[in-house]
Amino acid sequence: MTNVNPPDRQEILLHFQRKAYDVVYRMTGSAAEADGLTRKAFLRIFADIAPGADIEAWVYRTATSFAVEQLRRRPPPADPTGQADLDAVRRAFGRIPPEELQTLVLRMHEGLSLDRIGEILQTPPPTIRRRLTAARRKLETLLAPVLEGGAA
Amino acid sequence: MNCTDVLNLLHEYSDGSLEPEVKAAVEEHLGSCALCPPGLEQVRRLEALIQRAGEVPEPGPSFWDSQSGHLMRASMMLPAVRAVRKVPKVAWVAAAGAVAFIGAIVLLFSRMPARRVVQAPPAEPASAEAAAGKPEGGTNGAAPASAEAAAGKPAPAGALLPDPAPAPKIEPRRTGAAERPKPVEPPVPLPGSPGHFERLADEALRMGQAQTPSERLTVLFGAADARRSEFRAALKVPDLAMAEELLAAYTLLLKEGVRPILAETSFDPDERRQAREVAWDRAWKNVEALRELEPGVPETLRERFRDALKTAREVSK
Repeated sequence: MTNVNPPDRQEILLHFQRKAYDVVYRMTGSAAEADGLTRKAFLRIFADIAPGADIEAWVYRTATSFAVEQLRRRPPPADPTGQADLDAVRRAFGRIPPEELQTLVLRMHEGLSLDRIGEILQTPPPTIRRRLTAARRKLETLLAPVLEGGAA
Repeated sequence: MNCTDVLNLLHEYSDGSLEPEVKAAVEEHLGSCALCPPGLEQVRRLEALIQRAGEVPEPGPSFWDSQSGHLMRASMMLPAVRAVRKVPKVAWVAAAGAVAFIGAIVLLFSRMPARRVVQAPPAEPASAEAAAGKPEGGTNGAAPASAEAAAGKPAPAGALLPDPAPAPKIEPRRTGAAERPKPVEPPVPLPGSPGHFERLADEALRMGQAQTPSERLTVLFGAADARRSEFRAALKVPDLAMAEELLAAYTLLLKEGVRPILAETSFDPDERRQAREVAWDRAWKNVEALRELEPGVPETLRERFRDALKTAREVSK
């Protein structure tokens, strides 16, 4: 079919495939979901992206938005008590609003600044900051038993 | 700054997102307070836990190549995906609203007969009492209700449901239900509705997995069928702008997806024959479906529609 530009797409995959997979994995905790959602995210990016766009922002926004949608469809997991540390954290991730988890992953795992996250999610930085703090406070409460055990 | 203020700011302090002067005040307090530093320790332990939960297991050596290869093959469907995504946003929202509205009406209609049976005509107090006071252990539990109905007395509310025998009273209602027009066809998800992109992505990803020419043709015709039924649904809304884009996507799938595969001469003879058979069968069905749609196509879309029909005919030869 015409109207396609394969070298650009190869290039985009080369640079961002792993990044997209990683953020989705961190949010969903599932390799299968990370794989499927990454594929869908890249198809959407290839379909919608305009020349000269900020590709990294598109990749982060699209991939994490697919993960947010996926998490919304899931039933919330049980309380993260009585679990091994990392399982408990994963469960706690499942108990906070997906948008807060999205911000948390971009900040703490991707190391992006609040301004950059605001650009990526097209959301004002103060909102990003509120979401981040809310996420961390909720996780602190949910994980209190693990933290007080001094396990980390 | 007191302890409560500081404890409230610990997450932002640890994250490094405090303004410099606030950060300095927090540090000053932490240096002179015995109660707050353990709180900071806890925040740091939490951070360490979150960091560890961010470790991603390596998905395997061939994973990245196989994923990118799949995506590059799936990209063949992109022009058709793009054509659908060109539908203006306002139209999407309007159409999604309309579809939801129609869906709600369909749902309402489909639920009505059931409710009518349950909500039998309001019982007269006397007969309801009679039903309640009826001694149990008659020859047949259902018989009294039927007998009552046969005698022309209004049945007590709810009495119709547990009755396994079709009471004569219900008959006219059932026929009534059968007489209503059949809007039962499930609403077709249109561009912009939840899950519509998923449908496009699934088509493209199936394309990425198709190995042989006939498998690829099957995916292309499946996508063409989907666009055609969406086109029909968009005409019903009616949203002509959307219908036009869907028709364009449909034609594109046949012209630039199906046609080149049929024109390809490098496949082995068996594969070519199989591909021809798939195309012949599916394209004819398309021609027939299009001709059924033809009378309902508005004047403004006629030319595009004729082009689609012509393409389907060409592909079927």
